Amino acid sequence: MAISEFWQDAIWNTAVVALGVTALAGLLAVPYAWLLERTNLPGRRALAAMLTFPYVLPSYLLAIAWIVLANPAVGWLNLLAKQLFGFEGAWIDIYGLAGIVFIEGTALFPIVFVSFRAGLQRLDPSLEDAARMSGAGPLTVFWRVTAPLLKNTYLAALIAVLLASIASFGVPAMIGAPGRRYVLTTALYSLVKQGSEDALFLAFEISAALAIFAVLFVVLSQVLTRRKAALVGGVTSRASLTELGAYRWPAACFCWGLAALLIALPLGALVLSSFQVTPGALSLETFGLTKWVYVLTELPGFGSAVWVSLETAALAALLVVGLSLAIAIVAWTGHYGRRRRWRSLARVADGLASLAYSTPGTVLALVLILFWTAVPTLSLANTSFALVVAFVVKYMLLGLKTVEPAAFLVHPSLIEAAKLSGAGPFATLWRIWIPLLRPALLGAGLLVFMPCLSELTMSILLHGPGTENLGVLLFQLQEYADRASAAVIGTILLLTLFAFNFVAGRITREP
Amino acid sequence: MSLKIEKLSKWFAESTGPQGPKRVLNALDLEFKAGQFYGLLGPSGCGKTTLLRIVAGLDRANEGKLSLDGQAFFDAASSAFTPPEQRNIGMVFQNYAVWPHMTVFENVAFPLRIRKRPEDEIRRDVNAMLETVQLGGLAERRPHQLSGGQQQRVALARALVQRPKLLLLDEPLSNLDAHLRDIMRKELRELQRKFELTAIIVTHDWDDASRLCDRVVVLRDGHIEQDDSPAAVFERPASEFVRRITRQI
Repeated sequence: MAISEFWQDAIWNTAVVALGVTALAGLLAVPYAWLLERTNLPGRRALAAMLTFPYVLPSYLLAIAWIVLANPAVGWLNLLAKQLFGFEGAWIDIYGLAGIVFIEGTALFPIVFVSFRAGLQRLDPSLEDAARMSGAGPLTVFWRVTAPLLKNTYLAALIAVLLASIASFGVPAMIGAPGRRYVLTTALYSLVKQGSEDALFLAFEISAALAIFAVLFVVLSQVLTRRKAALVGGVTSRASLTELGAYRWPAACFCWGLAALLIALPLGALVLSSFQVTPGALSLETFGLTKWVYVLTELPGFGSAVWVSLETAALAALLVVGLSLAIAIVAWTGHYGRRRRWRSLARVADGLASLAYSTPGTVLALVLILFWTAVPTLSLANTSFALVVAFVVKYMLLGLKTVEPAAFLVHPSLIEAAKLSGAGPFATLWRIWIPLLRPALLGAGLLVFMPCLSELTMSILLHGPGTENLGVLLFQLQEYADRASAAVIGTILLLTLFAFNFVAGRITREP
Repeated sequence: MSLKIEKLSKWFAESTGPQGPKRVLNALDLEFKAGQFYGLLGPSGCGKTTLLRIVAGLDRANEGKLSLDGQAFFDAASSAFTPPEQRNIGMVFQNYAVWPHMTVFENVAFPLRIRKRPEDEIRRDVNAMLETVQLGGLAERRPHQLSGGQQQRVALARALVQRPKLLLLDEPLSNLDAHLRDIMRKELRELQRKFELTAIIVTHDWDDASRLCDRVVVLRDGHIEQDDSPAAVFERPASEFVRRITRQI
């Protein structure tokens, strides 16, 4: 099967972007994690919270934000250069592969940062102390002791970034497609948009190849994380901090400055631009509430999109939590009750969930479309439930990974005591299991609710007329040059996700 | 190497009481003479491990002065602080802290590699040290293949190979069974004499203190209750607290 030049380019672009993003995220995350976990950098706890924030945001929000800042026509950074320095022409242009790498790098950087930082927190501090007593300075300790011990954690995180980049749709669609630079996800999307069944089958073939690729990486990642040595320190002392001395304030300025540039700047611009009434020159007169009023009262499809987003996200979260609870109890019974079949069943469920999570959303959506085309009687096409099914399949793993470990902390004696007190299975579930697991269940629910609320990659393929969610609506607005309305919706999503994340942090905090 | 501690105080800002932050160490004055084996004895929370870590340079005191052989390694008044990797102090940790990703040989060779010694010198010194701690022949093993007692000897060899003048031991014998403890106590004593070290052991066990040490410092809530030879502490305890500790009550 000869691969046309179009597809060759798409594959090449996907690979280049994925490697660039992984390199960027991987290189940024390690120094940041070290500075925040092993030194006395001022304000490090606040900075860690700021750097983790993009984790809960869909990457397309950052794409919209950077378009506001750096599009060659009326991007704010270009306008400022013109107004302040008289500079003609655009000095910065976000469109193109480099722009995709930059935006995805900053959006996916938290994956590596959070993982590596957690590894540093878990590491037995005496291993590093012993190295210092043997004469090694802080950087030598890091290279010779800390980094080798965290190698597998780091590699697994890099693989997660690689997969996320390959599966990403929103950023390449907004930043690459205008310049006709396609990656596999956007190429598949344009293929499906053609509408013909031939195109659909071709899309399925290509996405099957993509899925196999993803699965291979997941297997590799599993192998890496299995070999994790028991490095958890059961000690009471925390790791010794390196005093930065004279470097303290320069390092702080650099770290905070870079974080502000990569996170605060674009998100701030996004929020501000939602108040911009007329694009073009930057002056106070061009700001006002006009667009907000328009979106909230007049924009066709807004109310429906809000409803679809809330409904599908809530339903998906509920289903995932319920299924996760069921599978967790099955796994638990299989383990503590020594029932091999139940244990295998749970393990199969875990495996399938893992597979589904690492499969690019575009592929999952195409699988569903193909299934519904082949079996029309079971078709959910053009219903909002189609989105729910896709969400549940994709995000099942998040629920399992939250609820299962919590379930395993429940000692068998608690359940046995309930039985001896006369409780049947339903009573045990309602009165013992659910109350005991409530923080995990709530956490899992929020963990699924948030990405589903703003989902775009699968929704763009599965929606029908009238079942657009906020992500799809935003995408359409951005495509058809109503960027200001897109900014309004983007700001609403940003604030909503921030609020939910805050609540989730409160609920799951250890008392 | 003689160690002098003057008016050393340490408190943690997080743990406050009615009179301000609770002091883990309270204006301690101590002198450790060269070539002697000292014990810091006391119950959990008395500050002995904190004191050890401050001497090592892994933690920093809030007030006071610390000098080795007359050179100030820490002085709160002038903010002088020598980082741990420059103090040439050997330390054996309670959980041994043997690096799992290196062989026994590489673990013990580490301090010498840091100091950029030539390869043949490293090989000679490491193998000699492994023989001394009776681990000859286990050089290529990985830590997870060793018993607890063997891992401790690796930790000891690693601390000694850099020829420190001061050796710190943080409850090294707590995880060993009674028989092994006996053996290790004798070996520690022999090694200390052989390498002419000043040694400080932190322990909550009177047997360790009395059988190993030339002098015992009994600590309680950051204060020194008594600082004397084991015989003196046993026969003439300065307080009921000290008497109880020596009788393992």
